[in-house]
Order: sequence, then structure tokens, then C-alpha cells
Amino acid sequence: MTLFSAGVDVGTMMVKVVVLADGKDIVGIRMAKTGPDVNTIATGLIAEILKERGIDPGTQLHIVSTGAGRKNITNVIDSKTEFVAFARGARAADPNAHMVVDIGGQGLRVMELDDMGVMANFATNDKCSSGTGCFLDAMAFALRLQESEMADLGLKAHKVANIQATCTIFAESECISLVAKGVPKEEILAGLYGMVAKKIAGMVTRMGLKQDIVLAGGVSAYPGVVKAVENELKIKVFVPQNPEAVGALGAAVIAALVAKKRAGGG
Amino acid sequence: MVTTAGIDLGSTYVKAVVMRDGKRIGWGVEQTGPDYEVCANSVLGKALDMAQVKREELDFILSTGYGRRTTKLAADTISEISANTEGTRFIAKEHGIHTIIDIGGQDTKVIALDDNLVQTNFAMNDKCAAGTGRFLEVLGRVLGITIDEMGPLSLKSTKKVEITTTCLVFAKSEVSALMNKGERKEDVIAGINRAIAKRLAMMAKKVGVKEKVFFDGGPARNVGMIKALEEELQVKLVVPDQPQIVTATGAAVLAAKKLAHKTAAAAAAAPP
Repeated sequence: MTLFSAGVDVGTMMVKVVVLADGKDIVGIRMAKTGPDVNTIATGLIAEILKERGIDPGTQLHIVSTGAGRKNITNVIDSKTEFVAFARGARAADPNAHMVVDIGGQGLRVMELDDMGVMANFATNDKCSSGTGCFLDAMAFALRLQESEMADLGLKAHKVANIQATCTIFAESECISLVAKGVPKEEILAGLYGMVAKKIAGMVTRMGLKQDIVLAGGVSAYPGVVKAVENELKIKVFVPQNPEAVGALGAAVIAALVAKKRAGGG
Repeated sequence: MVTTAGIDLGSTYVKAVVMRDGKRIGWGVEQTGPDYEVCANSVLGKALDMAQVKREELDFILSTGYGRRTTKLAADTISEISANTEGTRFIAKEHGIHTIIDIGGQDTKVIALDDNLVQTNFAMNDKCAAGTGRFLEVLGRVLGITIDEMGPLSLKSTKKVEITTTCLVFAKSEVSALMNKGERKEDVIAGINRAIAKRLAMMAKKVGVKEKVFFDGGPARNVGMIKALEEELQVKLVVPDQPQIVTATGAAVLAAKKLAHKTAAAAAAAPP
């Protein structure tokens, strides 16, 4: 009998759900904006996946939650920190991964994995919003750009604008005055990618750069940011197909393991 | 008769002070607009009107602040740290000040002084909006109140509400969430004041807090901020009547000193 498991990653911006069969085959990935009732959102996303794949909605599903709002999800067999979930998810996406960088809505996280895929070290930047998803959101607002334009418009720049501020709030003012000075938006954006990349490179280098880096989190879906990170670190990075769902994927893998262990033990 | 002016081009406000023979006779304060030169002209005009002095009567103009290099009005520039120290010396000489705390729109400074009010050390935060005037301004906007309403309202606080985040971006969400939870505005503002005071105190302790402590900059107009900082530092603060124009005052004083120096040098160089 197939064992179904689900990982629910309740982020500050998005709720991500991954459903797995037997802990390895992806049944479906779904996500939605975070709202006041994340439990209903998560349940709805799981139901959509099951319906789409023609699976009986009453099928037993083992759920593990993760993310900032993980405690708000009921009916789970366990909940794990983002670090543990992203580490596990990165290994599922790339069996050689030795480092994971998660660029999330409100946090930057770097995790080092040992050869067994167990998290050996981690660093986070949770006090400051600079370089996170909400940093780029604020800049999109200041530059009057759509999210789709934020992803790669900066790659077209011939020059990179120098942005002096680090703080999101100050960088916002700086972007506005750069626009007023007539600096092209793509140059400003290229400067912003560089800022995010520098911040990440600083965290990675402090921990000790390891080959086989997986870039995860919503911002990792931006080609401009990925390229800037590669330039900064001078190595190629691997970005999975759904980088924002890596945490949910990891949680789903863990859910299957826990369920198997319990079934075996009982 | 010597008439000088100091213009402090800050990130959020532009301030000007006119002095004549060691007396402050006029000043002006204006919100910073997109063009510093326009602001400098306008605010200096206000200070001159108040002083009833014509522009051509000014012997020397010195500019200071973040935008000090953007105006052609001034004959020379001076750093905010020097101008603020000089302004404190002018305003509160007899108080035995040993520490200055200045909260600006985008930066915060702590200056340590020796017994002669000469600067011995300083710390500055201009990298992060937490602990600056911007923190108050942005969160005030979230609450729908002006900076001037903040102080009196925060004194009505009866419940301790903590702001747990550091980053202003996160604090915005936190303040909204607190209001949605039904917390009262006065309690939230008092919490915001305390959050800034905490960050400032950390910085001040690195430099060393020695009494008396002088507190200036726009946020020193907020009585709640004064109270929170006094509680955090466990000292009584000396706050001037016009905390926003201390740095501009210092620039005007230094303008007179520079002028005297130049005149003396010219006299020495002149043929007999």
C-alpha cells in the first residue's frame, strides 16, 4: 500500500504544501499566500492536490509542518524547524548537497550538511530584513516594478548601480532618489541583486564555502539573484524546480520517515 | 558686529540658525524636500525673517549634516559631530555635560566629552533604521499619529507592550498585529519608545555614559522618548528647548570662529 505524506511549510509570505508517495515520489506541489487562518489554507491545498491526482480525500496522510507558523497547523505527526526541513529537502532535491541557502520572505538561512545529509551547522539573519524577500518587495514598490520584472530585468543592465545603504528602509529612499536622478531601473535592480548576493556570500563564507550548494526559497526563483550569487561565490549553484517548496519537500520526507518508523515499531 | 548662519541639512529636516555677536537671533525648521538647495534657501530665509536680518548682512555661512555638500550657499562645511558638540557647548555649557545623545532622521550618535566639552569618543549608527528617528516616523504612520502626538499619548500608557523585532520592516508588521490584537495605541507607542531607548542605550554604553547627559535631535521633542531613555540609562537627561536646532546652532557658532580665524590670518598676512 502506498504511504502518503505531506509537508506543510507556513512561511511569513506563502504557505507551501508538498505531497509525496512513499516518501520520494512527488504527488503534487501547491502554494498560496499566507492568511490569518493557515490551517484552512493548508488543508485546502492538500485537498486540491489529492483531487487533481484522483486520490481519495479520505486517504490517510501523515503531515509534518515547518516554517514560522508551523505551530498553527493541527493534525500533524510532528513539526520541525525550517533548518531541519530545508536541509532534508535540499538532499531530496540534490543527493550531493552539502550546503543549502534559503532566501525566504523574512529570513536568510544557511545550513551545512554532513555526508549523511544531517545538518552540521547553520546561520540565520532573522533580526534584519536586508536581502530577504520582503527587502525585494519593498524595492519593487519603490521602483514601481512587478514581481515578474524583479526576477530578471536587472540581467539586462549594462552597468550596475552602486547602492550604499544596507537597511531596507534606507535602500528604499536610495532607490527612489536614484530613479529621480535618471538611473535606469535595470541598473538599480542589478545593484540590488548584488546586495542580496553579498549578504549571502558573507554568511556562506563565514561558515566555510562547500561545493554543491542548493539555493532554495522564493527569491531563489529569480534568475538575476541566482546569477549574482554565483558571481559572488565564484561557483555554480543548483536551484531546484520549485525552490520555494524545498522546506515543504523536506517536511514531507520527514513525515514519511516518522510514519514508517511508527508503523515498524507498532 | 558679526552675523553668521549655520544650516543643518538633515535627511528628514533642514534647519537654519542665525547668530549675531554670540546671540542666537533667528532659526527655521523645514521638512527635507527633493532638492537640498531649494530647502536650504527657504529655511535660511525663515531664520533671517525671524532675526530681521537681510541675507547680504551675513558674514559667513557654514553648512553641516548629511547634505552639507549639496548647497552653494555655504562658504564651508563642518561634520555633524563637531557642529553638535559646539552647539551643546553653546547651549548647555554650565551643565557639566559629558555625553551627547543625538537622534537624527537616519542616524543616531553618541558623543563622549571631557571636562572641557571636547569630544573624546563617539559612536554612530547610520546603517540600520532601528533606533533612528525614522523608526518613530514610520511606526507613527502605521498608528496614524504624528510625531508631536506621540509623546503626550505615550504618557497615558498603563500596560507594558513589547516590540520584539529589531528591523523596522518587521516592526511595522508587529505593530499592525498588536493593534489587530486590540492593544491600545498609547501602550504600543510607549513600547516603541522603549524599543528605541534600548538600542540607544546599548550604543551609549559602548561609548560610556557619563553624567550629565544631553539629549537632542527631533525625537527629543517626544516626552515619552525622554522618559524611556531616562529609565533605560538610569540618568536624568538635559534636554534643550529647541532640540532640533542644536547642530545648526553649533554650525553658526563655528562660522563665527572660522570667520575670526580668517580675519586674523588676513590681518597677519597683510602688508603693514
